[in-house]
Amino acid sequence: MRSFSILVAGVGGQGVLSAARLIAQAAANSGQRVLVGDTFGASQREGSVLSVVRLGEDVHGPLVARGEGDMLISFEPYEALRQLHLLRSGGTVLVNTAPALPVRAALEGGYPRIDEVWAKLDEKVSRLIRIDASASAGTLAQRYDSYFDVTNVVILGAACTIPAFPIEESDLLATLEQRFSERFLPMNREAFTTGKLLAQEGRFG
Amino acid sequence: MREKQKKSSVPPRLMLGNEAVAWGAIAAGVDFAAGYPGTPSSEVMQTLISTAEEYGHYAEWSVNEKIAVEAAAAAAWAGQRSMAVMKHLGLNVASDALTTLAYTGIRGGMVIFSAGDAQCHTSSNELDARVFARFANLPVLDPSDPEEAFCLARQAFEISEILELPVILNSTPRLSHSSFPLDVSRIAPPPHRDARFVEDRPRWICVAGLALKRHRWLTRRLSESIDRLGGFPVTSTVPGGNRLGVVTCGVAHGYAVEAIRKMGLEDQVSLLKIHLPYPFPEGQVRHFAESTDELLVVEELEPLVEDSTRIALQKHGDATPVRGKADGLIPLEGELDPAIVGNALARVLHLQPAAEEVVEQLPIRAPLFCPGCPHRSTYYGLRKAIEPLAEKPLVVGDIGCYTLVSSYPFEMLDTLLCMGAGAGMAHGFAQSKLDRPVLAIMGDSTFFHSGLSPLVNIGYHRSNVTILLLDNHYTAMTGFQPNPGTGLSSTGEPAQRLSIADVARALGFDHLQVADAHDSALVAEMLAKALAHAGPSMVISEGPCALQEERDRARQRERRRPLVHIDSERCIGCRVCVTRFGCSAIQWDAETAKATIDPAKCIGCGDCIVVCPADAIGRTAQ
Repeated sequence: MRSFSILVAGVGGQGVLSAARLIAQAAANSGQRVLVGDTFGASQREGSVLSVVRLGEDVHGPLVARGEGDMLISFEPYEALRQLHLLRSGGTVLVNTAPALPVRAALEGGYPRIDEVWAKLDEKVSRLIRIDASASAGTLAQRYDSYFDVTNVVILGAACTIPAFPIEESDLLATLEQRFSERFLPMNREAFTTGKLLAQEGRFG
Repeated sequence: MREKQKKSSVPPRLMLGNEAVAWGAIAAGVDFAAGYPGTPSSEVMQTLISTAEEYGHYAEWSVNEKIAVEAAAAAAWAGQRSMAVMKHLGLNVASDALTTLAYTGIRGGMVIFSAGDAQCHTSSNELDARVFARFANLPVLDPSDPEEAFCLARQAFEISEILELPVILNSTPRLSHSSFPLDVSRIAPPPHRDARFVEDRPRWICVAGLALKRHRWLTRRLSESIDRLGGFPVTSTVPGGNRLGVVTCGVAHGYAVEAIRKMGLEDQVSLLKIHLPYPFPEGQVRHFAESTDELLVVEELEPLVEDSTRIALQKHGDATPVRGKADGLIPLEGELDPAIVGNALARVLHLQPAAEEVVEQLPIRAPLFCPGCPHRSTYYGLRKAIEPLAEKPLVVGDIGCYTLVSSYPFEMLDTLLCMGAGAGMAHGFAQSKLDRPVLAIMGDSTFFHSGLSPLVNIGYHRSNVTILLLDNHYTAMTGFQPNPGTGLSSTGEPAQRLSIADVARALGFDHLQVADAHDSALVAEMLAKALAHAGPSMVISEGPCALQEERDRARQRERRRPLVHIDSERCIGCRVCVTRFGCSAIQWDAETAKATIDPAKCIGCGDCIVVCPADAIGRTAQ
């Protein structure tokens, strides 16, 4: 099938849906056929969120069947594991390393330990890129005294360094410039660049 | 001219299916739109409200769906093009008006947009609006993708005018919340119509014998509908092989197309998509069946198309087998996906079904109140009030963010039925002489939506019910829409704020107290008093939605509030802040057995400070 599906996963409040929309808008701006499907249910905060960006002529619906996603971008390691069944074998995973373990799980268990998550991801994913986007975004938010979390833009910057990522960096940057007002652009530009650097370190370091 | 050139050089913006529906209505020249928010429908009205000034239509958040339908019907009776917008459950609220509107019909085109919820992502049932449409004798359109939603939304107004009937436009979460680039720069709506009422008493006064005459008119009109709509594509086909004919409706169509392509079945299977599942295009389906050995009907929820297909074939003695839900190939519940449709195709065609893979099972992440949410401290207070009581009150629920009192760490909710049912059922429990006190919770938007009548009933019968009214000033769960208690109009201009306390007192709640929602001790004290009072009582716990408050601070360029932190030296690891208060910014470090606060999530509300018995929680010095 002529299609490429990017799974964007995370937890409510992390900016997953906005990130997916930025990717999709950049793809649309560069003339690609695009359809985005969001699953967020009652996840105002802390619920699982999945947005699927589907590119190509053979896309007719917003859902990706098991094993048919081409790339998984997860804002959180547990969510990467949760959505991994949607990824095809050989698909790339970009994951933010900061875990968001539900507090109840921290108290009572029920979730695997984080090192088990990494072991499973290592075992099942041939191309796994890890970045600590949350830490960088936290530093940026403090420096700019900002109400807004830019973790998602850090992750987008990192995604651009992946060869299989079907969006040109310049298109994504242009979409960012379109999306944010003058007031928020400097922080978002910096977040994007930070993401690129983090991914390059992650791969070569 | 320059403006136009500039517009056309900008690539089309990504839009949700819901936004596409709104733009379809704008393209049709909608004059009047009214709706009540409800996931997954809300973005339709939001778009119509934000474009109202530019395109000159009227748009409002009504206080409930019935009023939205009645208001839109009035505009349509006066010859305007009108739209009423709601989630599927709103159809029930509006059904008294809708079922008679089918008898009277309309003059200007009227479209009722209903966003359903196959899979109950955010709803208490999966009601299929297509079946509601048949029940109400109203035509229904079921688009299969956002692009088609735009086209059908536009055409729905013309169809409505040709048939002189309101038309329901159905959606699902997958359609409403799918996005695609839609170019609206060249939309040229027709001129708006003036409202002019044409007297016609036998039609507009629908009662007794006159109503029976209109029912006869309606039956005749429905039977002629498909012929009258000759110019509209009520179905479309994807040609292929003759072995199997797949009849699809709504979003299921895309799943069928993808499954057929993936399995390489194009030379065995052809497709017929039903855009108008009621009144049913029998002729088109019969014609399609003639060229296939067997039919498989693929649709979500009720077997409307499937049953109608069987009836259509049987009328003409066509014995082509019709497969689908009746033989368990397609489920009656939940949403479909390409894999479910692929498996059904495999079974009909005797192919090997796809292997079931083992999926990593992680527990579901239960949603929590946002950091700073006034509901959290209110419920912390509620627990404080209830704990010392020998007789624990039954906590009767209602619909809103505040329903999350059902989940961790509060888990204090006993019942939940539908919008407004909290007060209605609390009255019933109280009057049935239940062996426990009764407390109903209700939000501000529910108060205006469907809370007033049951509160009047409580006041009138002097029921021994305590209402905990959580007033966060917005219809927050569906996207912070304003309501009569917000102090903003639908379009965001300052407006008179209706006092819930004044209204409630007038309804018979003379034992009424108002607390600051962030003062959990005061909430607890007032609730204890209210629960001890015999007769109707109300505690209004008031504090604006924290997300909205933070947004307002950011907009006004206020500095962030100093954050709150936990002194690890002082923390005794008692877990009260996580197991009883449960702010998502407070985390538990299993290694040190102490609580910590995530500075990325904390908004500095300080509600947790009073919770700590060791005084370990305090503001970060700036």
